[in-house]
Amino acid sequence: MTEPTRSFDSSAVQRRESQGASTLGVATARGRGCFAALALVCLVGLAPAPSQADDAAQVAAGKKVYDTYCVVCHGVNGDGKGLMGVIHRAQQSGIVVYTYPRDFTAGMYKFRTTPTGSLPTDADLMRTITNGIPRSAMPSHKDLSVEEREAVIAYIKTFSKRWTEQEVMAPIAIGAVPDYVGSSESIARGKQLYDDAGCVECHGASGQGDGPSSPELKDNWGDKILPFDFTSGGLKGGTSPTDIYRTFATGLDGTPMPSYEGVLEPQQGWDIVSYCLELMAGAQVAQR
Amino acid sequence: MSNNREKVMRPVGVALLIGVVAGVVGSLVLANGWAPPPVQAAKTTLRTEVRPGELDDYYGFFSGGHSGEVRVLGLPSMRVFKRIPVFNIDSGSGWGITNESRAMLGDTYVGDTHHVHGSYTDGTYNGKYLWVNDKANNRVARIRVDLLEVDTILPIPHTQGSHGIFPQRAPHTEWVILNSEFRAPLKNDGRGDPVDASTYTGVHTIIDAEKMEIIAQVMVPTNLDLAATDYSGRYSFATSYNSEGGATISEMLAKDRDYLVVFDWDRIKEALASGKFNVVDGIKMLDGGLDSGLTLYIPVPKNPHGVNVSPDGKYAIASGKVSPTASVISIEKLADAFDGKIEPKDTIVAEPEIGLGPLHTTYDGRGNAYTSLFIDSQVVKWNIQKAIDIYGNTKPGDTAVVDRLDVHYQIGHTMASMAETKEADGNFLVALNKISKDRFLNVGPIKPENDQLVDISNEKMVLVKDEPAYIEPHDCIIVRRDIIEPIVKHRPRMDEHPLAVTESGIERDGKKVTVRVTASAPVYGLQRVEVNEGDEVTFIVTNNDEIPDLAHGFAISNYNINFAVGPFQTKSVTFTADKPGMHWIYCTNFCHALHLEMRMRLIVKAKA
Repeated sequence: MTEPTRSFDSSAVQRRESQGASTLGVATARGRGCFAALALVCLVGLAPAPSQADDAAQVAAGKKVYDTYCVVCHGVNGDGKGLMGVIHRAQQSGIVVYTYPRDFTAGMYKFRTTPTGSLPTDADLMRTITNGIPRSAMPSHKDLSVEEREAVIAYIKTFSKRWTEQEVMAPIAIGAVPDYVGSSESIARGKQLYDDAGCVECHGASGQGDGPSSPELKDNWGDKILPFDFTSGGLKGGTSPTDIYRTFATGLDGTPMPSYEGVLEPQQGWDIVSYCLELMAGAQVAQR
Repeated sequence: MSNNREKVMRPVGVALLIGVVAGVVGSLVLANGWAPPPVQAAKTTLRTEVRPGELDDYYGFFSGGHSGEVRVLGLPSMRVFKRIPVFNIDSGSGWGITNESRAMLGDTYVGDTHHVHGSYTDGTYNGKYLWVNDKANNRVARIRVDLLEVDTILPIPHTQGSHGIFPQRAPHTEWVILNSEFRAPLKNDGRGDPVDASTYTGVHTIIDAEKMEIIAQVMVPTNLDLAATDYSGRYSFATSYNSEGGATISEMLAKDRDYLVVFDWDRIKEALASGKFNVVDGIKMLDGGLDSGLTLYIPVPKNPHGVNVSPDGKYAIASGKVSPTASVISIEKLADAFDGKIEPKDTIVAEPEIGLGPLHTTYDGRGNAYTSLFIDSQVVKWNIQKAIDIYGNTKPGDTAVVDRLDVHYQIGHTMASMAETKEADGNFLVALNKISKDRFLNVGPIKPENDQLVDISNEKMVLVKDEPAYIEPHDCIIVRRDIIEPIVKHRPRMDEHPLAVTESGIERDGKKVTVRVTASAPVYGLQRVEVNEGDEVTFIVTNNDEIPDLAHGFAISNYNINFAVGPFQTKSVTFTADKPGMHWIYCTNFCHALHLEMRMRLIVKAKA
């Protein structure tokens, strides 16, 4: 029973409430996040007219699911300010960094198959809800029925106007994993790109999330955020080669992780995948 | 008892007085800058108190005797930080309950750990591994220092009373040797005549330190007790108190001299390379008999127990527990004895009289030996060179003894800081006393042992503190903090466990159900799991929290299952769902303000 407040950090919740939208502006002004620029690109159309009765029933069902399973973290208003406050803590250089639940009111999502700045597909939301997110208190919901999960997706869309104002874009096409992924040549090219494309700035030379920029990184809500440490287990966006490719193709909206779609050629992308896998495996060898 | 207590209280009182004087002197220095002459000539800066919030200067790794565990202490505070379950079952950590630990333990939950020793590079600890023996069920366990958890348990066939264990000290630890204290039939299958003790054999087992496999076993006609290795990587040692080959206590005490047995690794390697061995049960068995050439049998008085090598690598010192002497063997002379140029007894360069019931010897790195005296309840400090100088030419009044300290009571092992390395620093000594009697509040028939901390940084030994210990540390090593602390991690790599869970889920294959669950404060990755009565259920649980000291528990109500998982650790358990009903699974290891809410339901649906 030591430190009863260390996880359930009510002061942190209050701090976030006081920061609110102003920090969102600060973060976008930094230019690292891709939200501001690409949000414009995505204002492409209006949502299709809803079939009102069915949707209302589904939203109502979704609210029931939400109030049973989600509200403690994501909050009554979907703004991520539920009772839980902090859903994960990490530590770097003795400083503890908090992760907060997703704020649905911003309509901004990290784990998508769609281009940066755009809304996720229903399948994207379904995947996150179903599988949960590693290294966070977002659990799996495989113990819910598909209908319950679909209903809660309908409900969380009610928290942001983006869902009625914007159209979901098509997923970024990712081809089959080429044979050369994991080869020593691909790893070597990937390492060069890891340096050249700036990955090393945040993720660090050893891949432990301790690059020179890492102490200053914040997300769009103004909260300090740590780059992924390749020695720390599962990537939140998935650990398969395709998952890794998709993560830097789409970027993680709302965080400093940008999209490299259109910046890198596909082969360059796969080379970086090779090197990321090497960072994860290499650290394991060094450890033993 | 009261007389004894009165007698031993006196030196403690003196020590306290010195402490008070030193304290006053210290404050005088601070007050006006004037430094009076030191109270004692030697260094007086040794810290013996650790205040709240301060960290210790040494790690102590203690065996746990027939509790089957290993303990990690801090010195000089003597606080117990961790009990590492090894050969026992532990409801808290889940050792003996989880699939991972059961793969190592099987169903054998009784263990008797005696000696913990670390891996070496160039004669000092490298902080990679610890090894510990199981005397009861003849196993050796290896502990990874980076996690301070067991990573391998190796059963040792052909042995009973697996007792003395020691790693190679130079150039680095490739071999670990283990002695069998109880001679036993090699093929111990109850056939032939198992009563005939003349058919029994002693075994010196050589283990590959990295692979944790048996390289070979050397068979000897005598029993083998405590173990040591030299500082060059050529010899290992074993005391033998039953050179008689007796099966009863009377038989074992018949002779006035037994043996210190020396094993020549150069010759053993040669014999292995040239195929001079038999293979029994897949193990290479070498003949280490009296005329084998692989071994040297040095006659030492009587029923010896301990053998310890001095930090300068020059001497192995064995003590005959029924003789008031210690025998100092010159390691330099061993080669000539193996070559037949001198007799085995000629390797003995001193046999000082030091007191009654001498057992184990430790060192301060300044040329002094400290031997535990079981019958006298003392630690005796004696000078090795002085003992050698007066050997065979002792005049009246000549003695190697420098100091004696009463300890409480009936001391077994004793160990000084870094004393089993070439970096022995002569700061602290631990007296591991078997009997505490009146030193602590009475707790019933089985009382704690008493591990006493002694300051040996000065000419006179000073008793610093008593520490009660649960059943029953035999031996320990005391390792400088700077060697261990940088090695120990807050968490392993998550993917060290091949089944690490980052995505929870349930899979069914016939009656086999596999449930993968993340634990992330304050939720498990699933809220509800439904299985059928009779299913074979496996839960795999990975703690996805990454900050230090955020462990989770996993108890399944009514199913006799609990374990703890530290950050990034994975543990699993398999059981038959034989109790229908709703059973809460809950977090047993306090993790969060909402720790009590961290639970999920296991629904076991009844058959028809």
